[in-house]
Order: sequence, then structure tokens, then C-alpha cells
Amino acid sequence: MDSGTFLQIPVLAPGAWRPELALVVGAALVAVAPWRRVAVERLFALGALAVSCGLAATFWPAGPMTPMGPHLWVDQAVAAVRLAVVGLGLAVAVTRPAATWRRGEGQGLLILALGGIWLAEAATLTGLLMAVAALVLGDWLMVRAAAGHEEARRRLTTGALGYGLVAFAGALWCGLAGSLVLADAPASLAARPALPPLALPGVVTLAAGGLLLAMPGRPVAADANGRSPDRWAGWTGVAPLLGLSALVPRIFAGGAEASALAALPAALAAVGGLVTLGGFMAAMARRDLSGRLAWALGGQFGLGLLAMSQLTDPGDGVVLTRLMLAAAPAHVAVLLVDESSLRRRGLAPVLSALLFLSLAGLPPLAGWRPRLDLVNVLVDGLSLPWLLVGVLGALLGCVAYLQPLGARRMSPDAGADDAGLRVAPANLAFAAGVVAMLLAWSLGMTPPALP
Amino acid sequence: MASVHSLSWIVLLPLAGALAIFWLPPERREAIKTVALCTAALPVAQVALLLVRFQAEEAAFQFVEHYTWAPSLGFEYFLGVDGLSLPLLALTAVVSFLALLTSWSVDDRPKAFFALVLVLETGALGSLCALDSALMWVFWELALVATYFLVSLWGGDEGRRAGRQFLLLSQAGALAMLVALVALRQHTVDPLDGGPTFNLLLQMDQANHDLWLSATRTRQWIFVGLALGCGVLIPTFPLHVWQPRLHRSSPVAVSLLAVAVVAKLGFYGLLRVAWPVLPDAAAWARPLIMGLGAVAAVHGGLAALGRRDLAVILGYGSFGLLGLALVGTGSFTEPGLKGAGQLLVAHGLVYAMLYAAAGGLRDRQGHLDLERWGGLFQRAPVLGTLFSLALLAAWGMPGLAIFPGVALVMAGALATQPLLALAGALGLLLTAAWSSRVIMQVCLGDPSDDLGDLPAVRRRELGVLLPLALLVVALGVYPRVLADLAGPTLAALVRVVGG
Repeated sequence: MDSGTFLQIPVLAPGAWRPELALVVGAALVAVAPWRRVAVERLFALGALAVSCGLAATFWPAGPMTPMGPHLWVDQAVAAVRLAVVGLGLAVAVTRPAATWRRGEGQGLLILALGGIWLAEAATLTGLLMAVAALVLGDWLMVRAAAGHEEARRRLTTGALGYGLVAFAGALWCGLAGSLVLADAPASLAARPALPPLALPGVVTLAAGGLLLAMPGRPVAADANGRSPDRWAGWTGVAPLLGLSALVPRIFAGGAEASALAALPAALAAVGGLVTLGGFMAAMARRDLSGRLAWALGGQFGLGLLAMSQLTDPGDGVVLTRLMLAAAPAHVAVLLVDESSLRRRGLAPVLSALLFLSLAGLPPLAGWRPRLDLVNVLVDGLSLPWLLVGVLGALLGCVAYLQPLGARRMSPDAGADDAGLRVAPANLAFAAGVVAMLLAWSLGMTPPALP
Repeated sequence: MASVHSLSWIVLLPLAGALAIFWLPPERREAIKTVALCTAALPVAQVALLLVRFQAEEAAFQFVEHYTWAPSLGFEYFLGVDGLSLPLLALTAVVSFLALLTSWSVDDRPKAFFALVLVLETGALGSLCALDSALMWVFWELALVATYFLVSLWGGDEGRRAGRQFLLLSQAGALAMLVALVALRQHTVDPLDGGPTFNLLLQMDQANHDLWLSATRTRQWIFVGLALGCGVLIPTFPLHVWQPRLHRSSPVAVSLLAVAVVAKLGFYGLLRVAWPVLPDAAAWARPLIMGLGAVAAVHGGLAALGRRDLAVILGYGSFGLLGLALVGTGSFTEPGLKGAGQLLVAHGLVYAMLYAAAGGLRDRQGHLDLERWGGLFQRAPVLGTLFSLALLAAWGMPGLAIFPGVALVMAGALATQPLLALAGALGLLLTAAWSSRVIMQVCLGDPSDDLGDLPAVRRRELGVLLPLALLVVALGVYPRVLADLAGPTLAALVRVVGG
């Protein structure tokens, strides 16, 4: 490996740094500024996210990002995920009342967004580790401010363990391939006459580390009424999964046609199947909405991994990105209008219901489109067991998302304190925007640059 | 006047009504109900115009609308009707309108209730008009989701359990169906651009199937996926477990929609997609399908005999009669298929009438326990007469709507599977037994002490029951109307599936 490859850190890569720079500058300003008041921190965070969002939209689809992968859709996927991460970050920041901000949250928000984008863009092992470190740090900062030191310590422990696993698996993977460039690894391995025995444990460890980072620590326990005190509306769990949804296809698409890697798709399918069934079943066991949604989002990620494992076409990996791009905004929006699902009047419960339907993969919103892609890929793969796992996962997902919708509306005391439940207009506006976007996607009115 | 977009209007008007209801304040209950009723009435008028303009002698699709939707995925906005779908379209429009009329007394969250009924109607109408299988699946799902919420939200604790069962089974079926439709799409080649397509007309042409799809085992698997999706809705034995609980707990309008509209979607899916696209696989599954139909006919009759709750009795009765229609559908003969087609429409009308009358009974006493009812002829002669007429029609009395369909189904089944035809006849006998038991108990029995102040038939009840009664008699006396309408299409279908 040469030093040029080693130093291919995303933030320094030409053509790929623009949206991230705003986040880096914002986070640095918050950290070093002598007047560290909450209002100023909030202002900096909002400003940095707005600028970053504008830049991500301006440079999207980002044409010159060729090092990101061999296929056009990879560039589009990264660009879309980048916009989704900062866009959702900005949305949850804007919709959060100023009075509820605490010191440290703004900085955490920016670093977490940075981690999500870096994860999507990571070209080398170094970039990957930087991204994971940013995610762990950002999450810790936010949770410390919002939920206290105890909860933050728990999350930091989980995050550090995940970081360690990812570092170990990444080192193993790149060491076997002889290159720090992540996308080169499958091709390098494919060139060997036989797959090295450590490659499969590498995949499994990587997946385990990724899941540890993204899933179990995310949901904060709900209060007695089943409402989430996680005021960041699940975005802390969404950002890493969004990043991973662009990264994972990019790593594995390189080995799509490599017969020597025949065992890898099987491992990926096994991981995908386990994550799918485990995620959705864990979701069904949770009674609090934020926990249920967080686990179900993990299940959706598993469905994407399952689709990727078929690898009948290099473009199949984009199903994972599409699934997450459809699910993440709906997930965040549902939590932002969470209390509205207890209401029986107005726009909020209707928006909430539509978002739940989309998450369940049912028309009329766009959630069903990636589900169709998934079935397409699984049918193409001609593998009956994985097809059955995919169908079972989709069914469990449907139940996991529809149950709370029905149960909340049906509970005898639902709507009893209707007058006391206020949903901020900004939250409603954001949810309405997400619904409109998903409806447009569902009707096929999407820009051609979308992956 | 039927325009070039007639079908789009018919399909989307109820959805527009649901959106309009959304903007009305919840306290304006009468306005909500009126808007719902008006938007459901418009498709009835539109379908009536289509019936007038329909060229019955042609087997081809008419009033076709064909637009590109998402070319990269092979989706098309492709609508059209033929002699198979048009009668069911008319039935759906009429029954949905009447279901809204029977729901006038629903005061628990009327906004959501009436909007969901309209969404269900859009889903059902869209499924019947779609000639693109992905579009059909989208509408299908819309109908299923609306049904799930109607069952779960207005059925109390038992309805919640029924909803959960329905959700699990219907979504499992819908996903199996989606997999089958995607497999068909992947391996059907559009001759124009060489790409895969969801276009049903192209899928029906076996010449467009590639080598993979030509394999017998593959076609059988795909058929099983389609049959599972349809079988949950029909419902076939043993996928009917959601039905009794639904009828026990749901408002009458929901039961009515479940038997008269949702069940028809299952049959339509079989006849529109599974039969013509995979005729050889259908022939392979034919004995099983007819067998399941015969089991349903007998099981439905026996179960109806052993129940006390009138809603459940009617549910099992409907299950049995649809089993008989399945026997006819599986016979692959022209009389069998024509009979099944007639039976589907007649069943919808007769059971709509029965559930509407049962709703009237429940409104009066708050229960449908057979043992606590009696003397309906004495206390409400008009309602009692109409209820008895529907019950007589249900058992297959000549001169009423169900008889011609049953006769043709039996003729078709006897020609192919005489033993199963005998089982179907046993089912009819059991139907006669439970129908007469209900008439004896509810209409002729001694007036029960707790009947209280039983009002005479209400105008709204008359508005629902009288048109249905006229249709039931008319279709019984002059069944050729339906036979002429569906004849060419079903004859073409028989040529495909019967070799």
C-alpha cells in the first residue's frame, strides 16, 4: 500500500468534501468559541447543517466521485444518502423547540452527521474508522446532553465495542486483500485461487460491529405512557444506518461477478436473514414506539443485505440504499409526530398513518417500491430459502409497523387527553413534506438521478 | 356520459370522496355521511352507463386507458373491463353504496369509518379494472389495508384479534402473490422492447414466456403463489379462520363488504391472472381447487347449522356458497364457469341483503342471537318478508338470483367430477337446512319477551333492501342478462383453460 492510498481520507478527497466541510467548521466553532452558550451553539449547528444541506443538494448528483465505485449508481447512492443525512439532521434540529436544547447537543448533532456522511463516502479503511469514531463520539455527546451520563456511558461502551469490531474486521479484510481501499478488497480476493479462511469471519465480524453500532444501543427507554424521551426523534440511529446503506453495497459490488467469492454472498445472506428476522421480531416485542421503530429499521436494513447477497447484478446493491432512503425519512417523521398518533383529530394522525403504511411497505406511499425491488432481486436470485426468508421478513415488518398504528388508535383512552396533545406546526410541516416526497416517489415522479 | 377516462373516474372518485371527508370537521357527522354517500353514488351511475355502452358480444377489453407509469420497472397505468370484470365492477359499486347507507347509524369516528369504506371501494374497483399486474397489486393492497383497519378499529377486542388474523393471512397471501407476479414479470418478454413487463395481456400470451417460465414446475410454483393470495380472500378452506371472528365482531357494513366485495377479489384474481396466464398449472391444481370448494360447501353448511349468532351463520353460509362457486370455477367447463360468474354476482346481492337486514335486527335489539329472536313477521312484516326472501334466495330457490348459477355450476361439475358435485349438492342441502332454521326462529317463532318496542321498517332500510330484492328477483327470472354479458369472455377463458 502506498502513502497516497493511506491518506485517502474522505474529508480531504477532492470533489467529495464540500458538504462535510461546513459540518467540520461548525463543530470546530462550537468547540473553540469562548462564548459557549446554548443559543449560540444551536445557531451554529443550524447554520452548519443548512449550509451543508445546500451544498449536498447543489453537488448532487455528484459526477466526479468516480473513486467511490465502478458503477454510476454508487455515486448517486452516496450523493442521495449524503443529502438525506444532513437533510434529516437539519429537519430534526429545526423542529426541536429552542427552549429544549442543551449544551453539547449541537456539537454532537454535527459530528454525528459528519460520521454518517463519512460512512457513506468511506473509500479506505482509515476513512471507515474515522467515520465510525465520529458516529460514536457524536452519539455520546448527544445522549450525554439529552439523557444524562449513565445512558451516555452505556452507549459509549456499546459504540466502542462496535468500533473495535469494525476496526478488527476491516484490518483483517484489508490485510488479506493487501489494500486499504475498501472497494478493491473483493476484487483482490477474487484474484486468488481460493478464498482465504479468514475472509468469512471478517465479513461476519464487520456485520456484527456495524449492527452493534447501529442497532441495540439506539432506542432510549420510553416513559410510562410509551412515549419516547429521545427528543432527537430517532435520527441518532438513522444516520449510521443511512451511511452503511451506501457503504455496504459499494464494498460488495466489486465482487459481484467473482466466482471465487461465491461463499461471501451466502454469508451476507445469512447475516441479512438473521438481521431481518431478529430486527422485526425484536421490534414486535417492544411496546414503546421508538424502540419498536429502531429495531424495525434494523430489520429493513437486513432486508437490504438479503437483497444484496443475491448479486445477480451489480446494481442489486442499490436496493439497500433505496430501502433506507424510503424508510429513514418516514421513521424520523413518525417520531416527530409521535404524540399525534394518540390524537383522533386533524392532520397529524392521518400523516402518521400514511407514514406507518409506507414503512410497512404498503401503498400508497413509496415504501412499497423498494419492497418490490427486493422481491425482484430475490426472485432473480432463484434461491427459494432466501426468498422465503425475505417474504417472512417483509410480513413480520408489515405486522411490526401496522400493529402500533392500530393499537394506539384502538386503546380505550386514546384521544382522552386530545386537547393536551400539541404537535408543533414545524413537525407537522416536516411530516407533510416527507409524505409528499414519498407520494411523488410512489407515483414515479422522481428525478432520474435518484439511485 | 361515459368518457375516455370513465374507468379512472369510477376508480378514483371514491378516493376523492375520502380526501374530501378528511377536510370536514368531525362534528359535522351528517355532512361526512352525505359526502361519502354522494361520492359512492357517482361510480354507480358511471357503471350503469358503462353497462349500457358495453359491447356484450365482444370478448375484448373495452373502455381501455393505457399510459406509461414507470417504464424502468415495467409499470403501466392500464385499465380496461370485459364481460368478467364489468358485472363485478357493478356489484362492487352498488354494494359499497349500500354498505354506506346501512352504516348511517355509525357514530364512532364516522370520519375515519366512511373514508376507509371509500378507500376500500377504490381498492376493489381498481383491482377489477387493472390490466397491469403491479397496478392490480397496488389496488389490491389498498383494499386489504382498508379492510384490516375497518375490522380492527370498529370491532372491539374481538375485532382486534380478527384484524390481526386477517392482517397476517392477507399480507402473507399478498406477498406470495407479489413474488408470483414479479416472477411472471421477470420472465415475460415485451415483444416491442424486449424488456420484462407487468402487462397482463402480454403475460396471457404464452409466446411471450421465456424458457425459465416454460418449465412445468416453475409454473406450478408461481400458480401456488397466486392461488395463496386469492385463497385467503375467497376464503378457501383452511384459510378462512379469520372470517367467523370478523363477522362476530364487525359492524354489519364491514361484514357485508367482506363477503360481497373482498371475497370477489379472490375469485377475480384466479380468473383474471392465474387461470389465463398459467392454464396448465391451473389444470394441475384443478382437483385440489374443486376439492377445497366442496369441503367449503359442506363445512360452511355444517358450521352454519351449529351456530347461534346470525352474523356468524351468514358468514359460514357465504363461505359455503363461495365454495360451490369454487367448484364451478375449477370445473373448466363453460356451464361451470358461467355458473360461477353468475353465482358470484348473485351471492354478492343476496348476502348484501341478508347483512343489511341483519344490521336492522341488530339496531333494534343490539344482538343477533338466534335463540333470543322471534316473531319478526308479526312485529315487522315488511322487514321479515324481505329477510325471508333473501334467505330463500340463499338456499337456491328457483326464480331467485342464486338458482341459475347453482344449476349451471352443478351441471359443469357433474360433467367433470361427479363426486365433488355431489358434495356440492350436500352443501346446498345444508344451506337449505340453516336457512329454514333461521326463518323458523327469527320470522315465525314466538315473539320474544325482550323484543320491546320494535319499530316498523325504516325508510333507509327499505332503500337498501328493496332495490336489492328487485335485483335478486330480476336475476332469478331473467338470468340471461348476466350470461349474455359475461358469455363471450368466459367462453374465451374456457378455450384457454379447457384446451
